[in-house]
Amino acid sequence: MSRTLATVLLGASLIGAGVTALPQSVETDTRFTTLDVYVESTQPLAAWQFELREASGRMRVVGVENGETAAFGEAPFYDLTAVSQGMADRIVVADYSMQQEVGLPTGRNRLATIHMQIEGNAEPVYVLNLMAAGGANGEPIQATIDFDTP
Amino acid sequence: MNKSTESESTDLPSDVVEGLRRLDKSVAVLTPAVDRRVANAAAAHFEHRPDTVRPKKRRWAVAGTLAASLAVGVFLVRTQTDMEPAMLANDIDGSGVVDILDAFALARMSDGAASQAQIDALIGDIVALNGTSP
Repeated sequence: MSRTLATVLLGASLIGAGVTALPQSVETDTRFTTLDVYVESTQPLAAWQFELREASGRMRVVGVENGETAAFGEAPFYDLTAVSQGMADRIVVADYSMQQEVGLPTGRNRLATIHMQIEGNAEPVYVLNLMAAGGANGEPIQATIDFDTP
Repeated sequence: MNKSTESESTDLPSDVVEGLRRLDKSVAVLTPAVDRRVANAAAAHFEHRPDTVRPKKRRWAVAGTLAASLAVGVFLVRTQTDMEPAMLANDIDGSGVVDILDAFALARMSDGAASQAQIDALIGDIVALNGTSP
């Protein structure tokens, strides 16, 4: 009887040790978020291009969505291959519109929304650069770029 | 002929003839023995001069200059012949930078200079993250 009890206790202790040795669930410091990109111009905007990156490289772009203007109603151009492979730690987004000048947006407009994965708990530091902005005649125009985060 | 010359010379005063004969006599300034001594003394004087160092340095300098020139030449040939024409071909608006405005200019050309597929391909290069974009 005592031998049986000892065997049970030994088995229980071994099971307990095994359970303790199992890998614990790993806490991931990764989260998904979005970033809205706005371009503001007093002249009608027909073409634009910007680059977005995170200062410490903790960003992985997972998708790019078009903005709110009718002139740029479809998804803009970006490196879809790099995004789908999870290699986009930065992103270059661009688009143009063949609409007449009256149909082009002026003022401040959301042109794209970037969906991304951020590693770590620290607040990301985004670096956003407007690389080109052009009017209906193809000439460069004065414009500014900024972003909003949720 | 000689006789007549001699007969003419005899008309000169004897001291003048004697003086002319002394001037006419060749004088040995450097004998072969003196020449050898001077050569030996010069060789002894200059025997410790490091006359073989500078030519070696010059050889390395020449080789280095040639190698540097070759490297610069290769760099220029590669950049001028491979990269710039490709970039310049896509710089439609001549701004010096290939960006969305070049694709837009290509799309705006009324003569249909490029197909939509070509325009999309150019934009693909512009937004590519592998370094082909500006």
